Amino acid sequence: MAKLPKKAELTQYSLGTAPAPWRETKAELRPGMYCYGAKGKNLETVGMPNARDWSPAEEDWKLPEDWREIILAGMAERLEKYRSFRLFMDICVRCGACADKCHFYLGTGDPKNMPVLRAELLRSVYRRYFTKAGRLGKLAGARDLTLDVLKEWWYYFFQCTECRRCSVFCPYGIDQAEITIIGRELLNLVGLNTDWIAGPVANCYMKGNHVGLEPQTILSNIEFMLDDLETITGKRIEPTFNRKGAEILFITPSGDLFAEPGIYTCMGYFMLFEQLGLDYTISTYASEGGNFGFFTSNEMAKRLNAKMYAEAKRLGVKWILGGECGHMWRLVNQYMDTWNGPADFLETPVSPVTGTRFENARSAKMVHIAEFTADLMYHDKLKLDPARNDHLIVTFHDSCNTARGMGLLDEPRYVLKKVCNNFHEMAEDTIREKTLCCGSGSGLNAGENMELRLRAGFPRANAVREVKEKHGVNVLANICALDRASFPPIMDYWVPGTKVMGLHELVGNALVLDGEIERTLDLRTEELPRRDETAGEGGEAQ
Amino acid sequence: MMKEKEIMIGLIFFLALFTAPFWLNVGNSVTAAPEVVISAAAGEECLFSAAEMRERHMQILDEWRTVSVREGKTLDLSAGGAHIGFEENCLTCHANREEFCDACHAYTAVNPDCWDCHHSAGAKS
Amino acid sequence: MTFFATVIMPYLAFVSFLAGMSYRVWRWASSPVPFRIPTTCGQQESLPFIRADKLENPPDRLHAFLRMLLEVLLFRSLFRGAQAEKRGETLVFGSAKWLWFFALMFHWSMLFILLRHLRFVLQPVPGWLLGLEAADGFLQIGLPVLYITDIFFLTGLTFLFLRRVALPRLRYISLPSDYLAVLLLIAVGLSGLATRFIWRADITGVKEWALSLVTLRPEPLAAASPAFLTHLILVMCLIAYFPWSKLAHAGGVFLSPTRNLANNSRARRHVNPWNYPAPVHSYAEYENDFREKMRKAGLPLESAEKTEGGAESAAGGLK
Repeated sequence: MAKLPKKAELTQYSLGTAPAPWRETKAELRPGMYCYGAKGKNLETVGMPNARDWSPAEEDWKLPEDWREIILAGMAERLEKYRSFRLFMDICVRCGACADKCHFYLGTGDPKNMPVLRAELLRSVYRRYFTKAGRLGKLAGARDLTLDVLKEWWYYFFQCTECRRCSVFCPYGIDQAEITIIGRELLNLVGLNTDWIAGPVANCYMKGNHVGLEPQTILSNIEFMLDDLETITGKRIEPTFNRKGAEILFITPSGDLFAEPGIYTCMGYFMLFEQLGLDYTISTYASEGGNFGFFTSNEMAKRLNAKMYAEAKRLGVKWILGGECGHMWRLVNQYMDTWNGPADFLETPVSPVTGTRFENARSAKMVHIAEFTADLMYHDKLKLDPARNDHLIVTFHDSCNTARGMGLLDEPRYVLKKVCNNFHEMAEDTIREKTLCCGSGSGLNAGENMELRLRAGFPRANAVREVKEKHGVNVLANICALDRASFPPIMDYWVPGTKVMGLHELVGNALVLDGEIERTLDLRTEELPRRDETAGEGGEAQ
Repeated sequence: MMKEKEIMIGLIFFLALFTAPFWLNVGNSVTAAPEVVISAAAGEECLFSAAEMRERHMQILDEWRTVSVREGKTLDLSAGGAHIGFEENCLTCHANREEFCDACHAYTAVNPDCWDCHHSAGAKS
Repeated sequence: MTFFATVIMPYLAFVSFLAGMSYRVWRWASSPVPFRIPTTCGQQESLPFIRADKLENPPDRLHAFLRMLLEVLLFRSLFRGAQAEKRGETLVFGSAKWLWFFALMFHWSMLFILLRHLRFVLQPVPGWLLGLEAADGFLQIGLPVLYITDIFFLTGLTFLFLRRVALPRLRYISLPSDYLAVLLLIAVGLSGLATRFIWRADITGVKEWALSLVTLRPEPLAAASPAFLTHLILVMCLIAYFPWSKLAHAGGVFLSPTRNLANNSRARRHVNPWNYPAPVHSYAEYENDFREKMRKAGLPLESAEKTEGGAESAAGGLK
């Protein structure tokens, strides 16, 4: 990773425009703002076109001779396949309501990061080749598809996290995520992906998960967590893997199996399931909840997603429980059943503990763990000691995808309020459906584009800083593996001293297991603060 | 698909709404403006030409109201020193309110407030 | 000439409007909605003890319909209007409902003005229209009475125009057609006012002419004044241009998949008409790749030996 720029440098921008009209400004690819080009072998693995090694920094992107025809034919095809695309190309009135809603614009001041302009990058080409008025050229806002335009697409469609915040404010619901998704699909037709996306896609396709954990590594990683849990709780937990006949298949993003702080969230899941005596299993084949295919093309996303139902069918489970993840849940909620359903071999999910039927998931047969846990808590099925989280002052970051592609807003808050006593919301304009993105979603959480991530994460960090100053917040809770991976460096940079925790890490801390030893350590094996005497539990210190 | 059906319904609704003036007028044979009938004895001159009156009568009457009620004047110099008086001057000839005034006003959906204060010509005759 | 301007052109413009809008809507509709992608702006319907925000996150078609009504009649999304400002090294978010306010003012006024013009094509004029006129002219300023919606219409448009030229960001994103649309509407409004207050049209004659058009017994408006002709021609330009421009958003908004769908795709399967099977890496292939490692790790296996686990396809709509 290149040396990070100073804060003063990163905040030296204004939310303005540029002197020259945007159509006449060539995109300047600044290092730190983009990811490496996709390696040939990764594209080859999944059969994506124009697989070769290339570098965005070089002049020659090694495109096929007829790249323009390929792109235009791809546009024509997608205009026929997606009403969203055709409509969003046509009905924008450029009212500007979206302009200052994008965290990339808010963090860079680059006018092409205004959602309306990022869309115009594509619209201008649409007008030129697919409308009659396009013959008027500049006057109609049309322009030729040149190599510079293509590079501009690449640069800016990978400066969008498909977070849909703009779509909330648009009077017609025009969704830049949809335009970015199609834009990236078009780029992928000529082999223009980033390696941070293509690599995980290839991994996930062959090995079952983005980070490329082989089956035995998944087991040993989890073994480490279980060792720690034994130290913390005195109990040995023994989950099963690839077990046929289990009631529930549990799928979580592989980030939870791989690195801090995701693993702490994962430990929380294991504790919860252990306490409930849940009949569940984990698959090493369908070991990925997330889906970087979605940042590549619709087809790739469907191909990776197919493993979930396929594995549920093979193992003969009744339903699927899903861990904390953002885009995974947009896909489970809005795409999975359509892609790979109907899942008629599964049953409507029923909580074996409370008997609650999850009617809202009766077709897709997959339940979010926050829904599952909130239901448990509502029925008072868990013994909790929220005071164990008393040293934490928590705020909650809504993930873009669960907020705006699902509406899972109050379930995690319900859980959070049960497991910690100090909870403060961030400013109203930055939470729930108006939540600000972490800035690293949709496959942008690489290292080489750290400046971009820091900039795009700034609006969120700014809101965290506010509650830190006001309430002393020191924990940013979330329900997204990408948040857990991407926020730590962003918080360290902008709001040092803010820990990033998954919801179920906090649940795990507060959860009282039957037959556990006296808890002195949290899930990070850090000492829990001493209880004060008034709580009647003094003498805990070692 | 259902969605397409909904769009078709919407489209038909749109077309029906916007062509309403056409089909609401089917069988409507009376479309011409009503004939203006002057009931009084002919011979007396109007203060302004018919064309000017058609265009500006409401503004003339409005001016008259202002100068007579607010300024207390009784003569309109712009009209050759005519005596200001809606009832005395105009309604004596145009005494048939229904045919002379109301017919056109109804036709063009104009609802003047003259008759809130003045006796209508019809009542007088 | 008069015949052309007052008979042929109105019919052409009107037909262009109807056919154009129908074509645009049909064109949009002919592309399917492969995925159920509402932008959810409130709590989903999930558990009974968690209050769902059904208007912002519709669980069914009824609520999706109501959400659309809210969007079309009250501009719900614009009402969220917030503004971000950079002050030093912080970002400040504040409410900014100006765009919502003036846009709503302009659009509603236009609706009322459109309805009021029905007096020229309906005979007899229905009572509700008289009521509408009376309400609109309740200020009783001037003779003929000044309609409040005329003022609102021009105020709203003036705001929309001014922000487009005055705000650097708006100026930066605007296309020539954005100015054209708003200026055309302003010209229509001003010329309309002129025919009422300055170069007055003989509305009795206008109504005779208008009725002749809608009863399909067209007669030219011989006595059309230049002011009236100007207004007429501007209006005809507007409606003829309407479907082919960004103004078509009036129809498009109803088709927006992020607004008109229920967020219930976990409860009811949404079908993609062009779904097709795509190659996947099957479990059998996976086991073949990792059989030894899985055996060593004690994972259950489907087969002890390498199998002919050929490529499989993800389930598709074609099966």
